[in-house]
Amino acid sequence: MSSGTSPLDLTEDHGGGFDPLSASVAAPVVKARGYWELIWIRFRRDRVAVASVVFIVFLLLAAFIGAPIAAHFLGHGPDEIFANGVNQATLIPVGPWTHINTAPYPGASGHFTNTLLILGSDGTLGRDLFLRLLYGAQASLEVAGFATAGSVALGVLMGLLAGYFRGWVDTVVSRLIEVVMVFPALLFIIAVRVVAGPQLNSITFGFLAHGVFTLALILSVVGWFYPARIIRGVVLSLREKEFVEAARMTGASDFRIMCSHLLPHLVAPIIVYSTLIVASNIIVEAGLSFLGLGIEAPTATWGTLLAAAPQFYLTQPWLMVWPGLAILLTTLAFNLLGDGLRDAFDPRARV
Amino acid sequence: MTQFLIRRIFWAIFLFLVATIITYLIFWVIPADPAALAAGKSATPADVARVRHYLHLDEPIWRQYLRFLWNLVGHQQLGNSFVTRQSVNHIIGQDAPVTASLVFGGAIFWLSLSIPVGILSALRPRSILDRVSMSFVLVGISAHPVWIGLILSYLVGYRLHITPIVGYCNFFPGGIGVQCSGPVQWAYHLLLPWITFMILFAALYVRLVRANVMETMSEDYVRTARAKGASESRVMIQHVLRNSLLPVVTILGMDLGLALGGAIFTESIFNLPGLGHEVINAYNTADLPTITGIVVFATVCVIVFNFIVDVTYGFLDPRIRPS
Amino acid sequence: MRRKQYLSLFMLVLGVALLVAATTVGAATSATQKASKSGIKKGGTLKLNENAEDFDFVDPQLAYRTDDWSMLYTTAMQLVSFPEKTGAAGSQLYPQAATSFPTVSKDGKTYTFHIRPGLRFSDGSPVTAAAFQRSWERILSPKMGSPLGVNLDLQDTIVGGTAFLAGKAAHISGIKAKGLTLSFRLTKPNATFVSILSMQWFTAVKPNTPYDDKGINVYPAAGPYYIKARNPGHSTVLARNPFYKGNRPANPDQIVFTPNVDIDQSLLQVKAGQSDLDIGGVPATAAADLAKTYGVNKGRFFVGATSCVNYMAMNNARPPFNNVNLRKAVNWAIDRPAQVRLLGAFAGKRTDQMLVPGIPGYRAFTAYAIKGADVAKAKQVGGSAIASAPTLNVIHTPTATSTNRAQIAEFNLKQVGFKINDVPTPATNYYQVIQTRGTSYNFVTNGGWCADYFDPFDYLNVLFDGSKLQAANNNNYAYFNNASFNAQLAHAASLSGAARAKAYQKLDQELMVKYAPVVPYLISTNRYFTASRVKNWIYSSYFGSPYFNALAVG
Repeated sequence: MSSGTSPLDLTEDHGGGFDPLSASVAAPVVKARGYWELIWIRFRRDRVAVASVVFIVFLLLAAFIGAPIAAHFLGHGPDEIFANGVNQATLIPVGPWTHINTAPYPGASGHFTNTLLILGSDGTLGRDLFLRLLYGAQASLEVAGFATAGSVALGVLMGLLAGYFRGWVDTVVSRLIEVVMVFPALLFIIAVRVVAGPQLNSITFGFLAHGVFTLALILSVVGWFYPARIIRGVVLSLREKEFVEAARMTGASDFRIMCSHLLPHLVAPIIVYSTLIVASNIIVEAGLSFLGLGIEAPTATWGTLLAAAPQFYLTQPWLMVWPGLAILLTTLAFNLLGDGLRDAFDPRARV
Repeated sequence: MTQFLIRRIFWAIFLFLVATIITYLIFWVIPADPAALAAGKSATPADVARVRHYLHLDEPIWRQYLRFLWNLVGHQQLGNSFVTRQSVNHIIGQDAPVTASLVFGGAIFWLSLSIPVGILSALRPRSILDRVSMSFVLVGISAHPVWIGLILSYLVGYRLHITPIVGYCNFFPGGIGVQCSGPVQWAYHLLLPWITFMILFAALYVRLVRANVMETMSEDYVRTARAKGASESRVMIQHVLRNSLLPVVTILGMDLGLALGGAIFTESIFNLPGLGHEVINAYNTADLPTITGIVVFATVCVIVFNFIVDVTYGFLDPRIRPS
Repeated sequence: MRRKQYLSLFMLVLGVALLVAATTVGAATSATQKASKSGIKKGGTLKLNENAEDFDFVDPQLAYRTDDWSMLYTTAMQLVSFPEKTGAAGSQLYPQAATSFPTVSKDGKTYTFHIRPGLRFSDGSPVTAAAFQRSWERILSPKMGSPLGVNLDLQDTIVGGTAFLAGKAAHISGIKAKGLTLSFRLTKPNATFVSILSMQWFTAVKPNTPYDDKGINVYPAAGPYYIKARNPGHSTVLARNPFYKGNRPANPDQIVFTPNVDIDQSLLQVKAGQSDLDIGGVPATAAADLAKTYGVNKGRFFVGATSCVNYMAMNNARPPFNNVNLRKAVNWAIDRPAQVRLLGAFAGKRTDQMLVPGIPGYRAFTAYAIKGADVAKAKQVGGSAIASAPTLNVIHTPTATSTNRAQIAEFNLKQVGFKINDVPTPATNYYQVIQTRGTSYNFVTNGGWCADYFDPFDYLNVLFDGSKLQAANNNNYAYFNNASFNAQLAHAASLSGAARAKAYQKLDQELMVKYAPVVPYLISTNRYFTASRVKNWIYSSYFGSPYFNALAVG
């Protein structure tokens, strides 16, 4: 990273110690299948990383398949409001493993079945905290996943263009990055929500939770500069390599060189950084929800659950434990997976 | 060097203009009528029209922006709050010391923790210290800062009564009707916020310092220095630390913007009357001038710090300048 | 910590109104009350927290929120005012700075007051008629930028008001102040004029008080206290007015207000005796526990009624709620107890009518499901129109309480078969959306109204007179406009005494039973917790707070 380096680049990467070049340049040395095989062998040996993958797969299954199943067996949904989910004397949410009556109000005439709240209720509305945690995982993971996909796609495009063409393209992209970094993201988020919130929220593509699209879009727009800078750095060094030179000699177009020759070498850093960005996006989503700028009710996310907890700070402190733990374990798994992938892709970085 | 300096100054001014224009545009496209907001909830249409004229909102957007810019640059005025009609300058003057206490106090905390830990971990990789510190790094970047704050406040503050659960005291003693003030109370109330605020950064910086030191130690010039028979402490101080900590200083400047964003969370958990707290309140009360003022102020801070870092770095590392 | 629970009510204390003052004024009792009853000691500093934003203004001519007014009351010297008494006695006006109620000319247009001699501001200067003239000028001055005065149509009430507001006159020609004699010349007879004067805006201010659209913070006052120091957003300190010689209580030496205190921290401070009271009330989740430990209204934990009715509004001007059957169906469908539970224990009394106890003409009745949602009845009343109704745009602010309130309401509406589009709307455009005629909202969940005057006009005429609808800034955001009802409202307003009360009682019932334009659900209460040293709790349902000057901490 010597040529064309601005002070900005020197400051980058908070000590990940990942050298994407050595990882990606290793590729031409070994034949393609061998390269991935090697990575798989190295990765398999890393027990922590494998455990993380297992956890993440389990989480995905629990969120997307387990949640509806649990709702089916419990006989109620995550957004259902139970009068008896709140203790009628103290008006404080009931605790874990409580069987409650589904009567619309205490003393209502007629026969109403009982239902079980495994982790108790989530607050003054008396909704099922356990189901909301499971369904919350859906929304949180959707936001984190799509925001990561968006920001990485945008970042790779920008980084590739800047690194490959250099010159004014690079200058424009680098300056744009600087502007994005200086500009307060929170303001942007407020503005987008106020201006276009309702229209964007209703975009679900038939499967996203309400409001996920808005947040994913916003996080992509404010988050693309990080992958862009990394990719730009990698491309800057790659384009000086012989294979790029060779491709250029044979008369390959810029587009072809970028797609067929450079992009495959970017797969390793893209995978590693995407994993890490997912983790940070989960944190950001929860933070925005805490400030009331996240996904809107009634959709549960871990962030909205965490945001609702402080109201019962003095009386029901366990309400803030569950969503916090869920966030901690998930981000930890993604971070460990990222570290494991980095080691697998780049054995030299391992100390 | 002069040329470099001038270029950086122009760039900083350009950044400032872009940021203010975007801020201004954003509040212009928001489908809210500032005049109606300023006139109050029960104004008649005639009142709104009067206020609109009074606030120059009936002029074209570019003239409003120029007026805003002129007030800002020429008179250092950011306008008046719609809610309390106080000058936004005054509001920022009251809030900025709180945020500064949090951010700079936190920075001192995380630097004095992460630099020694990072260096020691790098010198003894896979030692117990290294493993502990790497575990801390993982938890630090994985746990949600809001959650850390809530748990700390509940356990340390509410359960164990070691610290206050929330609140802020002025550093300087005295003042009218204040319940607590003075450096001791100030630090006592900020202890948990500092810890909450710094954990993420401490984790990132431990990893950064560790990686930098390790990388520098494997550089040729370090090996050469050792081969020449320089003492170990001399090698460490003159070569390794100097070269591996320089980027840390720079990144500190870059992280200010991120830190100001993070301060919003810490301030809202611990009810600290800082800029972040104010901007969220202003959002909830639709106080557009206060939001804009704080955003502009924060942006200027980030630009100024980046500028200082750039220039300092240019002085320290001459290779940068020609780029 | 924790984001504050923003009050969903309009915190308007707008006594917008032409109400018959006779009912309140006529029965006014003597204001004399000895501050030093047995066991009540003077002295000490009363330390008050506020778990919300600071007073927006302490300038009496700009302030208009309920918390502003309950603080300003301790500093106020008004022509007529409310005494420091609990219950109904506290809502009877008495002449305070005036020697008696005014003499009214035969044409009903000239009101003459005589100011008590010997009254002094906290800087020692005498209170004369000019002090009250100045308060009017500060409200109506174009230099003050006070839209509130305009909204009350004050400028039309008084001769010369319009010219003064337009900046065409140096003084209001209809107000004459000469020594201790003050006279008002009205444009037309106005039975509510004396009541209007009890608002905090019309307190005595020094005749040289400047016009300042940012508001004054520290100024001499003529009441038992004056604002000695203030740091906006951080603290307000009141000290006893050394020149006040009246009978109103002035127990603490000093009163200190500290805003922006965290609500839980505040409760802990009061428990520990570090603070005396949080004027923003206790956390909703703590109320039940406090009541169990300290009892209700037994010395530490107090629950006091307010005049605030909380309601949800349907947009009567657009489909589907132009259909009265659907409005009635919604009144059956909404789970009122759940809405009350949301606010914690002792949050108030559920209701399905607009008038509140204490208002002439109030009589409790039950028209809809007040014990909980009645889904079957709602479906029956709504019939097939529910299924064919367009999707409802449900508007609420994005704060936690408002969101939860909307969640319950939407759940109830879905139960009976409505389709819902939830539209959380930031404060930046919330009021514009609901107060502008013709916007696309169907259902708004955070409506509320508190009155200053115990008169039904302030509820029914102000909120439901469709003939007063304008393009924007409507308080009638149900957009209810019924010619026959409008005419009845106008007729009731012209009545007085028992006939008036009877007319409004009929209208209150007819409004809900026949038209059901809104869903009233709660008459709210305020919940307070005091430190053990606090004595002499006298609660005002007018201010929704205790009289701070009466609290004793000596």
